[in-house]
Amino acid sequence: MSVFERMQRIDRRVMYLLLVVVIALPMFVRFRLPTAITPEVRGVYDTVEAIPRGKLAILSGDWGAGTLAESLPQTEAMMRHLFRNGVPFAILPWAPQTTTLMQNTAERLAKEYGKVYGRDWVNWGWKAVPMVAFLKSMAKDIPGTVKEDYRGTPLSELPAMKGVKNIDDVGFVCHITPVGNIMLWVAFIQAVYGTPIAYAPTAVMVAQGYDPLDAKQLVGMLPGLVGGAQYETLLNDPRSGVRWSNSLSLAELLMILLIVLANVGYFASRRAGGAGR
Amino acid sequence: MVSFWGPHTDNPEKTLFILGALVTGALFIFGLTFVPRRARKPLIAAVTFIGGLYFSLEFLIAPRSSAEPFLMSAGPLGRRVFELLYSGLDPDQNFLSPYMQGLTNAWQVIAGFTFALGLTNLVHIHGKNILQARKNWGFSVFFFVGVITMAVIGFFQRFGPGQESPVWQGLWLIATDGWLFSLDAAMFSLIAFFIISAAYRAFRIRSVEATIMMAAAFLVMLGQVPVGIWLTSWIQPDWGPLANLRLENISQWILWKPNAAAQRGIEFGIAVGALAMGLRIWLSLERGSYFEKEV
Repeated sequence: MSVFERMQRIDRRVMYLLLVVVIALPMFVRFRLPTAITPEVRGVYDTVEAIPRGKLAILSGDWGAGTLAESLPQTEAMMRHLFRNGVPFAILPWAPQTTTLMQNTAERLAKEYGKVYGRDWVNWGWKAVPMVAFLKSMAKDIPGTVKEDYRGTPLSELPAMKGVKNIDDVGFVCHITPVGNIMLWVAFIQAVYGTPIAYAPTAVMVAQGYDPLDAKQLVGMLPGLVGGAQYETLLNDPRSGVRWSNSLSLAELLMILLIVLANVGYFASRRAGGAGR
Repeated sequence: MVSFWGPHTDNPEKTLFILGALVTGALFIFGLTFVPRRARKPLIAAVTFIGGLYFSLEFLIAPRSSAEPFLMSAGPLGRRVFELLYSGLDPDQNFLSPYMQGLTNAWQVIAGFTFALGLTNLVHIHGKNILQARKNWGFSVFFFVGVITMAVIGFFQRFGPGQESPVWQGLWLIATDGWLFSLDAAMFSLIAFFIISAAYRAFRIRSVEATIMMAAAFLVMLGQVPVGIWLTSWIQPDWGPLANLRLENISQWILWKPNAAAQRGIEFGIAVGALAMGLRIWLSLERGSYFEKEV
């Protein structure tokens, strides 16, 4: 087998090992790469900064442990900003797993910021109801639709929910999700009531966000893990997003190198008269 | 915390609601088994049609705030229609809106029963696998172990006697953080290995289209991650038009311009398809394996 053919036939186990190494490396070796702040991330930050006093923010999420590497830094960055600015927020989970994951995150961060459940944030808990029906109903009557938090406490007993009647009392929504359902928020909330909505998708879903962004239907977007890292940079508080995006950088670099290697081998072996794979 | 065992002295209404929903739902399902086979499909079609009609009309009909000026200026008939349909409603409501809450509650109850139905189905399939010692019946045993363990721990840590005890809370932590979340994350992580292997084997520049696609992919991928930004960080942002050659700027241009345009085109197509599909399901015209089976 010639060198060029070898370049096209690297054993997959070697590739897997290389991937493990490049992903794990930044966890042991600390280094800082530059981060550019894109307009979509800046848009989310500026909107949170401008949430009027007395309005509630909603952190809507339907992510699970499968996308934790991307969705957790996004969630953490949003919660840190809201806690820091003293904006009360409600967690709106669309899956049972999200209820626990987002609540655990909020509880962990609350200790750092001295925040209290019920006063500074609430968790509406997962409701087994289709998203469209819930959004339409919630927009008109939040206490009537949500009824109680994830522990079974009526919303009326939670100080953060005092005076919150409908979507007019909500100053900001961020939908953190690996699923392509952001347009439901746009169609049933933003387009009807004008509520500012931000989108925090996983990287694979980022492309679909630029259309509503361009149409100003979204105030901004945190594109995947990198979006979380950019937001942490804006908050001047680099955390897991910044650290993990180094792993992502090296993994993407490895993939590009392997693709280039395979293509060089492909062209060289074709030129030499061999069969490219 | 809510106690499922003791009476809901703090919220008797809720206890009644849960019991009422359970009894009504069970009676309703029991009653449905007596519906003649020939009448089942028309019944489903009728419920689907009425449900779809209600939600679309509730969304489309003008709320009081929009309808009031128009109807009040349309003479006595307009005023009569307004009084008939809109009096006593909130500004953002139309005459169908007050039923929304009740229907959403009913929807939640039905959704609860569908979970029970799904579980019954899974138990039936995996139970058969074990009893008949079918191929890979061991996986079915894992199904039962997983479901029963999670259900028991989840139930007792939330509703059981001694729900606050560190034993139940600890077990719940092991079951979720320890097992469920770790397994879920591990399953998804495998995708990285498949992607790198598939990209290496399949991504060959065999045509002009493939070349364009690969170039765009490289530029967007690198422009999104810190290492790509570092590669062209020597180009200063104040270099005028030359600053556009920084990788993050090229990546942004691709995403905001060609990508957004293409996405818009795709979404138009999807929207038209979804509309057609929605109409077919709403009017029970859809055919295929799920819709032609005997119920």
